[in-house]
Amino acid sequence: MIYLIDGSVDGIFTALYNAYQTKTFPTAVVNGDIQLDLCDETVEIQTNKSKADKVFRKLKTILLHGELDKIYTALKSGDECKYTVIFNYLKKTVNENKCISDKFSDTDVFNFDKLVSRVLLEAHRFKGFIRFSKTESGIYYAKYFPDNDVNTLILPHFISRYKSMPFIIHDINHDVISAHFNGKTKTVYKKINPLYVKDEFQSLFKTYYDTVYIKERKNERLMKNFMPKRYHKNLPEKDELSGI
Amino acid sequence: MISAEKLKILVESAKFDVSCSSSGSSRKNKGGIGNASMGGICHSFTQDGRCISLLKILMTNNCVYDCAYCLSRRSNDFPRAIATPDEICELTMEFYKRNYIEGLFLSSAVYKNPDYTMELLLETVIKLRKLYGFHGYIHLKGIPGADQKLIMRAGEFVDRMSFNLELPTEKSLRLLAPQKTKKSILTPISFLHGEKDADRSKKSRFLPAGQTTQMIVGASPERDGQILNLTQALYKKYALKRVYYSSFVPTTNSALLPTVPAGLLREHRLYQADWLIRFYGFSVGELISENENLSKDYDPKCAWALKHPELFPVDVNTAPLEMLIRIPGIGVKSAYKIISARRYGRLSITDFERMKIALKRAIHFITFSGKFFGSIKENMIERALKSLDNSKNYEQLSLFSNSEINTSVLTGEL
Ligand code: SF4
Repeated sequence: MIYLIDGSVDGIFTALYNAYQTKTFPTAVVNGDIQLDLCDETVEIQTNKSKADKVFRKLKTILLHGELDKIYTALKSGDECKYTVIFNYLKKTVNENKCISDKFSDTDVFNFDKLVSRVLLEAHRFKGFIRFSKTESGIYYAKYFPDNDVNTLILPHFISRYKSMPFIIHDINHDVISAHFNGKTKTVYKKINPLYVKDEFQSLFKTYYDTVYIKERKNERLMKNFMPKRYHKNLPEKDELSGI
Repeated sequence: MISAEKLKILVESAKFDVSCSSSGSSRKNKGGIGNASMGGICHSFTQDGRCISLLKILMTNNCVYDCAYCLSRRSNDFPRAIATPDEICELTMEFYKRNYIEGLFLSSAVYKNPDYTMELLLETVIKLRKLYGFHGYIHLKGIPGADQKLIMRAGEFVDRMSFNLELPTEKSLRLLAPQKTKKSILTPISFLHGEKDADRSKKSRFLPAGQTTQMIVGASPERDGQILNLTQALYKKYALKRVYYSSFVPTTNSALLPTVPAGLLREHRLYQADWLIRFYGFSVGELISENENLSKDYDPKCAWALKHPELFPVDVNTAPLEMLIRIPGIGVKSAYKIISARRYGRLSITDFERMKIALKRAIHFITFSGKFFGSIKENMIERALKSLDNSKNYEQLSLFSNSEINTSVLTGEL
C-alpha cells in the first residue's frame, strides 16, 4: 500500500496518525503529484491540522533536543524517497517510544541520518560554491543548481557575512529566490528567469584558479570528487557558464 | 585594479605554500564585510585537488635571499612583480564579495630587507581591516629576522600567522637557505606563542587561529622519524595548530638539490602520522624511531597494529573509544558510531555492514562478541592489507589517484 501525501510536514504527520489508527502501515509514502505504477494500491491522505498537531506533540515529548529540526531538514532533500524514509524513522521512534536517533545499526535510523547529512553536506558545500556577480545596480546576484532545497539553510550564513551588502541567492532547480536588502531578507518560491551578469572579476578569478595549482600534480579526478561536475556550471573558474 | 599579468606572477610563487585552511577563527562581522567560520570553508578545488579557501598571494616575489629550492630566489632569472597594499586589499574585497574566497593568505619574498617587507605586510593588513572594513580571515606569513614589534603588531590584526621552518635541521638550512637560521624562525614563533598565551583571558583577539608552519620534505636527507619528532615538539612547545609538509618538487636546477621529486606518498604518510599524533592519541615513539622512514606499504596505523599482535583482536562490543580508534581502518567518526549504536545492544558484523563501516582492514583486528572473521596468519593479513593500500599508485598520482585515501588526508579516517 502506498500513501499519497501533499508533501508538507503536516502531511507526513497526518499519514502517521492514519497508519496508527488503521493499524496498517504503508510500504511507501510519496508526494501525490508524482506518477505511480498502477498496480500499487494507493491511499490518499488528506492533511489534517489537528491530527498532525497531535503527532507533533507526541514527537516533541519523545525526540531529544534538536532532533525535531532534522525532520524539516530532511524535507529539504531532493531525494524522491524522502517521505518514506522520514515516515519509517518516525514510525520506529513512536514504536520504541524513545529517541533512537543515534541507533545507527537500525536501517531506518541510518537512512534518515543519511538523508539529513546529505542535505547538510550540500548546504555546507554551497557556502563555498555560491558565486555572486555584481549587477549594474550594485546588487550581488548568485544563481545555483543544488540537488536539495538548501536556500534557506545557507541564507543566515550570507546574511551575517555580508550584512549591509545587498544580495540575491537564486536556486534555479527549486525555483527559490532569497533577497537581502537594507537589512531585510525575504524568500519566495517562484519561477523567475535567471539573470546573466557579466562581471570582470570572473576572468580574474579564473586566472587565479589556473595559476594556483601545482602543474606537476594535476589530478582532475580528485578535484571532481570534492567538487562534482554538476556543480561546475555555476563556477566562473570552470568556465562553463555558457550553458545558462 | 591589479592586472592579470601581475596576479599570475605573484600567485605563481605563492602556490607552494601548502596551508590554505581558513579554520580556527570565529571573527565576527562588526559593521563591515565578512566574518570567519570556525570550521573553515572551501570555495573551490584546484586541478591538483587542493581546496581554495584563501586568496594566496605574495606582496612581491622580489627577493634578496637565495634559498636553493625557491623560484623567487635572487639568483634565479624570473619575472618579478610587486603589488601595492591597495591592490591586495581591493582584490581581496572584490573576491570576497563574490564569495570566491574565505579571506587572504598574504606572504612575501624578502624585499630590500626583513623590516621593510614586514612593514609593507603590516600596512596592508591594517589597511584591509581598518580602511576596507574587512572582517574575514587573514593568514599572514611572517618574515624571519624582522623587528619583533612589527611581528607582534601584526598579530593583533590577523587570524593566523606562520613562520615556515622550511627544513627540518639547522644543517640543511645552512646549506639550502643560507640567510635563514633556526633561531630567526623559532624566536618569533615563541614570542607570538607567549603573547597569545597571555592574551587568553581577553577572548583571544590576538591570533585567534594561532600559528602554523611548513617544512619541505625530501630536499634534504632527514628521515621521517626525525621530522615527526620535530613536529611533535612544535605542537607541544608552541601549541602550533598545524605542521604542513610540502613534498619537494624540483623547480630550480640547483646542484645542492635532488633532481627528482620526493613524491606524494612520503608527504601523504607524514600527514597520516601527523593526524594520528594530533587526534588519535599516538605518540611519535609508538609509530616510528628517529632514524626510520614510515612504511611505504601500509598506513602508519596499520604498520603499528602489525607490530603489536599482542593487542589484537579487539572486541568492538567492549573496547573503549581510545582503543577503537587504534583499529586499522576505523576512524574517529566510525568509532563514535559504534559507541552510540552498541548502547542499544550487541553489534554483529551485519550491524557494521548496515552502518557502512568499512571492514576491509578492520576485519583482521576485531571480534564481534568473541567472533572473529579475519585472517589468522600474519603474512596473510599483511598481504591482504598491502593489496588494499593504494599508495603504489602515488608515483603516478594523476592517473591512478584513489579518492578514498586522498580524502583521508583531509578527514583523517585511517
Ligand atoms: S626568502 Fe628564500 S624562500 Fe623566501 S622568497 Fe626569498 S628565496 Fe624564496
